[in-house]
Amino acid sequence: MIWLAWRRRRGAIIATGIGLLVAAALLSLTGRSMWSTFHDGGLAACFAGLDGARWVPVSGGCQDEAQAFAARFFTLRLLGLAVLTFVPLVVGVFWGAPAIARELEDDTVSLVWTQGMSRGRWVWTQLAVVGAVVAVSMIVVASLVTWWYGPLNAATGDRFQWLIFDQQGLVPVGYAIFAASLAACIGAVTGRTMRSMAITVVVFIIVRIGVAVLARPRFMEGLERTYPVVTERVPNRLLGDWLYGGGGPGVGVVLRASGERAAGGQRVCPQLDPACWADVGRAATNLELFHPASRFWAFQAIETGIFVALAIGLAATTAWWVRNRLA
Amino acid sequence: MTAALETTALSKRYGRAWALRDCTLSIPSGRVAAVVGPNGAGKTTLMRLAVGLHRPTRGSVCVFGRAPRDDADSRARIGFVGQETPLYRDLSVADHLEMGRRLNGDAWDGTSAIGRLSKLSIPLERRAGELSGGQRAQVALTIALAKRPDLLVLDEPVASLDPLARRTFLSELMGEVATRQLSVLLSSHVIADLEHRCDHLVILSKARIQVLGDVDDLLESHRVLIGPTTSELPDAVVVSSHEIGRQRTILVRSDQPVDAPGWAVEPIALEDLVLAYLSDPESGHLPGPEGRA
Repeated sequence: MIWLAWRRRRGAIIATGIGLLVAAALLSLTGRSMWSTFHDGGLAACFAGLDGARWVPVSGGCQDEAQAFAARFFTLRLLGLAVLTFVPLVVGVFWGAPAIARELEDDTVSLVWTQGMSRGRWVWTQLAVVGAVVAVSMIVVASLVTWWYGPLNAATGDRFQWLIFDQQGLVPVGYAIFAASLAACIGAVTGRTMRSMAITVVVFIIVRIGVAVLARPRFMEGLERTYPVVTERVPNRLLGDWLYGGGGPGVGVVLRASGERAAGGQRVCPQLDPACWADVGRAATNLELFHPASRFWAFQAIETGIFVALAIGLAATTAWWVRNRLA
Repeated sequence: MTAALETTALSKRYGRAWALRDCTLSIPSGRVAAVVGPNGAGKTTLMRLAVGLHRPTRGSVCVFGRAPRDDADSRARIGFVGQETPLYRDLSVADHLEMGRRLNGDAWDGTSAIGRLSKLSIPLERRAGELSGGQRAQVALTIALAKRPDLLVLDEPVASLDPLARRTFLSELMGEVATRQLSVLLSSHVIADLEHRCDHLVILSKARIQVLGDVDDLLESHRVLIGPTTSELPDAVVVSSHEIGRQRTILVRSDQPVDAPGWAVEPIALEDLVLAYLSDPESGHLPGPEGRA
């Protein structure tokens, strides 16, 4: 049975292999140029001097060098963001939607289901082969992308941010497996490959946004951090903490000395500029809610776990549907 | 002896529409049974129920005494060729044989399958999507036969073939049936194809069985009567009646020889018999106590 599942997918495996090679070529070319700039341009040395300090002077902490680096690769970063966000969805749908639906459309099920083998084994084999291909190819892509993001993560400190977090580490693998399982399930239920693709795209985007916006900030209890408005040192923004909470245009809030919230977002004022701090008072503090950078991999694991669990649930639903509901 | 195929009040519903209703039939082992009927009459549904692709909504279906839907062992005794003879387009003929070998274990008869295909000069390395309709049908039949089935179920296997390929396919099939002592359930809407090839007939109409019986018995009990419109109707069941000018042609059914003075009595061809019933879905003929005759 596994033999048949592989054999039927030779074309798709070759197409996926070519896609992987193209992706690897593009990522390694652009990635190498970023890494060499990172090392040769002095940014790496600057970070080494900083040694992961949690607090840095208001103007310092490699911020100018990092900004110059980020500006240089601004277009590339935007391009990566636009393309890589959709890779898991595309890979998952390409493999998942036809997994069951194509056989229903061509009625090859009437050939294979009348051989000496149970329908349950058939469906689980299809799902396992598709799952394995999607997982392996996405592990390759995600590893490359994670390496590619290295210098950008360091220069921007936003590895933990929405959309950036979603493209590296483990989560792309989870997203792709989920998309494949969802597409296979909808394909089994509707019996139509194209319809399954369309529905999967919509459902996938809704679930992804839902988990990212509603669930992800709550994976763990956030930490609080305060520091004076009138100050000469600020938290090291390039460490990669995730400042997710807060109001106003900034990422946190300002508390007056009395403890009430002031209007507007965080600010950092030099002592010699009273116009900057006069309305909140000299003793006001900034308050921010954040997840420290050290939680990055824990969050990656939790989010991947959620999507893999959803995928397993959908696979079980698909198997049940094929065994019991398909006539 | 267990019937090759036995159904009791077999019914299948899709949504709110019944594809098959109260279908009770028994096809003895070793027979070639033909299922005929207009499109949408339920032929495909009956066949797919018989091979375990569908589960009955009501009633039961047994192949050699066992329900095929949930019993892989009983499915191992059935060879099936679906409508449009589905094959994996991207796989070669040899890949299909390999698939059969891997999925059917010891029962698989690969040697005779390869022999059969080479006799038909079908290249093993060709992809199924590149075969002609006739070749596809032959490959599908070869796969079904290589399982060494006791019951062969063929759903309109010749529908898409030209007349010559159709005849070749059917005589090939009948040759296999004769040597292997198979039971066959075969559907077609080309009735001429079935004449002299089947010995059992099932006419389906509007999801129900309209006529069921042994072909020889049916041909023997039906007579065409031709006479003037003024002649008195004989003492027999009139299946259909047509008038052209002053001449009337009627089809009658009777278990006794028809005594009809003033009428010319002629035997009927299978095709005419089937068409007479199909053109009048209200008339029916079923054997046994529950028959609606």
